[in-house]
Formats: sequence, C-alpha cells, structure tokens
Amino acid sequence: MKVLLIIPAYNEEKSILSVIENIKKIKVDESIKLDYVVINDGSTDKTKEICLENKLNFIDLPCNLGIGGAVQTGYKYAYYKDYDIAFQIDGDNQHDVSYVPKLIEAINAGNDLVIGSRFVSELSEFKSSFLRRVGINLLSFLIKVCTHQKVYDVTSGYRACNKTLIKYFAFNYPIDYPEPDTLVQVIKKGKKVMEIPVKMNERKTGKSSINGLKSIYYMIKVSFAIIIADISTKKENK
Amino acid sequence: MSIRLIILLIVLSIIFAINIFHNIFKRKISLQYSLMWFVYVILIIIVLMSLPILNYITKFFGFELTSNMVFFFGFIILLIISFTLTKIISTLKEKVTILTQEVAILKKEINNYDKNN
Repeated sequence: MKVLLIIPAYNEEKSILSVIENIKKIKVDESIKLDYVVINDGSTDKTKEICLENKLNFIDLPCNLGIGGAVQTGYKYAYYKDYDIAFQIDGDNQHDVSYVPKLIEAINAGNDLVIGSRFVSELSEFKSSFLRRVGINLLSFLIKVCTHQKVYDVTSGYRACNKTLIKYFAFNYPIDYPEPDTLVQVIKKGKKVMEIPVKMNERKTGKSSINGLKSIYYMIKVSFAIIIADISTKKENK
Repeated sequence: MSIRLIILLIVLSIIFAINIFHNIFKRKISLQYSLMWFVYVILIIIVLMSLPILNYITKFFGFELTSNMVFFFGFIILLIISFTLTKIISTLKEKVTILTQEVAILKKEINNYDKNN
C-alpha cells in the first residue's frame, strides 16, 4: 500500500526540515510504503534552496497558487503516481505526525476521509485562541445544519483520504480556505468522514494565514462557501 | 437633452470605437472580447441619434431628464460587461491554476528523468 504525505509549504524555511525529519521517524507496517512530497508554493524565502540542498522530494510551483492550489497539486501527484492514501500535513510542525499510522488505520477501516481533530479529546493542549474557537464552532454548527453530521474541527488541515477522494480532489479543489468547503462536498457525496483526536502544537515559526480583520472576511467567505457547496453538490449514486 | 451634449457624447463614442478598432488591428485585444464593447458603443450611438424616441422612452420610464436615461442605460450595460469580465477572469484563473500544477509536476518528472540518465 502506498501512502503519500502532502506538505504544502509557503515560506516555511525554518520548519520544513524538522517536519521531514519527524516524518522519517514515523513507524509503519512493512506493507506500507510511506512517501512525502513538499509542495513549494512559490515561496519568497529559502524554502526552495533548502529542498534542493537536502534533496527533499518536492514539487516547485512556478508561481504562488494559495493553499488550495498547492494541496491540489499534491493530490494530482498522488493520483498520477497511483497512491492509495493521501495525507495533508502543514509545513510548520503544527501537526504531530506520529498520529499518521492511526489515521491510516481509520482509512483502512473503511472511512473515506479522516480528520485529525483538536477538539474531540483532551489530547491536544493547544486549541487555539478563544475567538478562533468560537469561529470554528460556528462553522461546525453551519456544517451540521447543512449535512446533518457533526464535525468538530472543521478547519483542520491534518487529514487523510482514500483513493476515491484522491481522484476527486485532484480535479475538484477550492483555492481559498478549502478545508470546510471540501468537507461539506465530501459528506454531501455520501462519503464516510471520521474524526480522530490528534495532538497539535502551537506554531513556532511563520504566521497563520488568518488574522485580525481578515478573520471576519474569512468567516463570511467560508460560510458562503459551505452553503454553496451544500446546494451545488449532488449526492452520488452508489 | 441639449444637442450639444448629444454631439459631445456621439463624438466621444466614435473616438472610443476608433480606439477599439485600433486595438483589434494591433491584435491587442481578441475579437471575441472586443465585440461586447463594440455593441456597447453602437447602442449608445443609436440611442443618442434617435432623439424623439429618446424623449418618449424617458417619459415612459419616468426619468427626470433624457440625459439621466442615457447614462442609466450606459451604466446597466457597463455592469453586464464587467460581470462578463469577472466570469472570464474566473475561468482564466482556473486554467492558470491547472497549468501551474501540471507544469510543476512535469518539471519534477523531468528532473527525475535527468538524474536517472
């Protein structure tokens, strides 16, 4: 079984190497072949040089596409290279990669999409700021209304999906703030989504993509995206 | 609406139309997208040249002034044009995204190939 970890990186020169080192430490079954691919999303810092020097497996986007476009490149790569499971992991060490085997297990148990979640248990000490939690709860509620399924950590970028969804994401993936949007699409399509508690760390380097006034704009935009995804995604015939 | 204003608007429209032609011949804009601007200019000129009808429509819709009506319809057409442009930009953006992704993946494949040979 081939598993690919997609690591989108935009200006992550300080953290990218340690992310890769942590990935190399992951212990998986011998039947599983674990690969990673860094997607350098047109970084303006030394991310590309670091990838070259250390001979990392990376894809270099000629211009900045934004997180959605970068992650989608990974899914396309996974699709072309015929991977069975694709992971999405941030390039800033926020996601503790030692939970990867657990997520693989959950996919093998028949789930289509597995989300590494901060909120379903007390594992993760870092739960982000109060306001951000309010925002995430609101989005979670909106998704519950739309899809009748409760997902707690709707913005988590720590997720794994199976072959069917790799193919789907390779050709259908929103550019901006894609996590809640794709989540609704996937549930509406009748796929099985599961949340698994993981540990997340506070980011040590780099900045979150969502800040200040932008967060209000973010909330409006994402809510809009959720409602659109809800209306426009048709349930797949099984 | 005074004749002077009408003449001014017609002259401006004609200059604009010439500018559009100029750009088409220099291949600066594709014919496909120049067409909507061209229709716009022609419409404005036709509207301006038919003064009696103009006055009738103004009264019919209840505009205070004929010039208001001319500007109103100009504005509506501009709205349609700019919306069309947004649609075109969205498609282009999607195409650029796909191209960027495919080029990046290809670049990687070529590098791998070079290394293996």
